[in-house]
Amino acid sequence: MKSEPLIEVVDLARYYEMAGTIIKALDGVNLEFYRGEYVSIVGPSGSGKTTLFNLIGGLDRPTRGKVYVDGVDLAELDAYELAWLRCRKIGYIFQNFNLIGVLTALENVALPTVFAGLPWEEGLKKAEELLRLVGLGDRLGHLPSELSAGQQQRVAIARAMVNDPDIILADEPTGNLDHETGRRIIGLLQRLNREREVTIIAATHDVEMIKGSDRVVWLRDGRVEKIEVR
Amino acid sequence: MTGDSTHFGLTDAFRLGLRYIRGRGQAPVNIASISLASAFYAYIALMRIGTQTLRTYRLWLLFVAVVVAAVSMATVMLISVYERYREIGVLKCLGALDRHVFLLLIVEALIQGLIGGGIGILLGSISTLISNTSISLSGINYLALSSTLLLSTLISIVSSLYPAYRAMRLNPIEALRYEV
Ligand SMILES: Nc1ncnc2c1ncn2[C@@H]1O[C@H](COP(=O)(O)OP(=O)(O)OP(=O)(O)O)[C@@H](O)[C@H]1O
Ligand SMILES: [Mg+2]
Repeated sequence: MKSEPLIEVVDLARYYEMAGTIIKALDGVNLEFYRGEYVSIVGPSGSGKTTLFNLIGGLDRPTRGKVYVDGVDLAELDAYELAWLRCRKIGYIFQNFNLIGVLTALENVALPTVFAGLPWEEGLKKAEELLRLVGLGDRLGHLPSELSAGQQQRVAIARAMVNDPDIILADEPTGNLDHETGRRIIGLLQRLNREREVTIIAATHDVEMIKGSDRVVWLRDGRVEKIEVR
Repeated sequence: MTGDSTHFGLTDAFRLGLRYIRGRGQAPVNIASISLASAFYAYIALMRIGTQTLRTYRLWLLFVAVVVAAVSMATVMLISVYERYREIGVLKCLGALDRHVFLLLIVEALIQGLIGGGIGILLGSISTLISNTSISLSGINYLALSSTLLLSTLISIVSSLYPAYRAMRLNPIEALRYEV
């Protein structure tokens, strides 16, 4: 199975300086992610999960080390290329869904296709397909405020998928959901991972949510504690 | 990976901007302040009579009305940017460039300026016709009247430059950590 990794993280470090003291949010992390994998990142609060995602997604620059996506060193990309990466290569899913409040479910899902340069009508068509895929075909015209938490997260999943990214970064996607809904969201992500061969990296601090992962990376204090292959 | 970047044109900005204007509470406040200043301008543009002191007095009032409208619009736009901090961060996560965010806010200002100017023209001409029986509908100076739209869009865009700049420069990581 092991070919070229899709994402390669080499000696990655991100320090913050706060009132004279240095906080090592990440401190020398080495990781590889392969195409089609479902990887869970587990670690207590403050262990560096979000920091790692920000660096992989090109939202933040590391203090030390490298991130390669598809063999490309993110440090070499300018703001335009990073925006393209975030738009086309990576899909984001957040703990608090982060939908646009004034847009309907359909428009929320179609929004990233605008940045990808697709005509609006085509984007809407693609969005509708995806909303059906996540079981929300009857909620197209609803605003986020008219949807349940689980439904909002399914809209967010559809939005993350709409530009056919290679990678989905899900930062505690079940953190704001009750247990049963959370399990169903993870089930949906794993189904999309198998059916669409999208690489999913999901952060959590709930060990209940790591069932069915190909690998589990345990983070602690900005370092990889262990990697468990399942 | 290619050297291609992401897209967000004027049409896209109008589409999203209109949703924001319809979906949020601040637009009526902006439109009201712009339309009051515009109505006053339209009124003055049409009423070319009166003594020199009266005209100077009116111009002073207009100046005050314009400043008040601009300050009010700038404040409301800034509040609107802060309220949407997280959403703007999300836009950047989805591929928006700084200039896309800037464009969105300027287009929102433009739309509100045009609506406010339109209402101002209406109010201004009605009050002119009521207060001055010597001017009839056919005698209205339409060129002077349409310059109202120029003023209204100018006020709204100029006063939104700083809020739009703030939105553009926002750091998506901080924005996403931001709890409203
Ligand atoms: N902008 C910042 N300034 C200073 N310190 C920061 C900043 N962002 C993160 N940190 C620190 O870096 C460490 C890692 O934070 P991070 O958000 O990556 O953790 P996390 O694993 O995502 O935690 P959680 O499960 O609570 O989301 C923490 O100690 C945090 O306080
Ligand atoms: Mg986190």
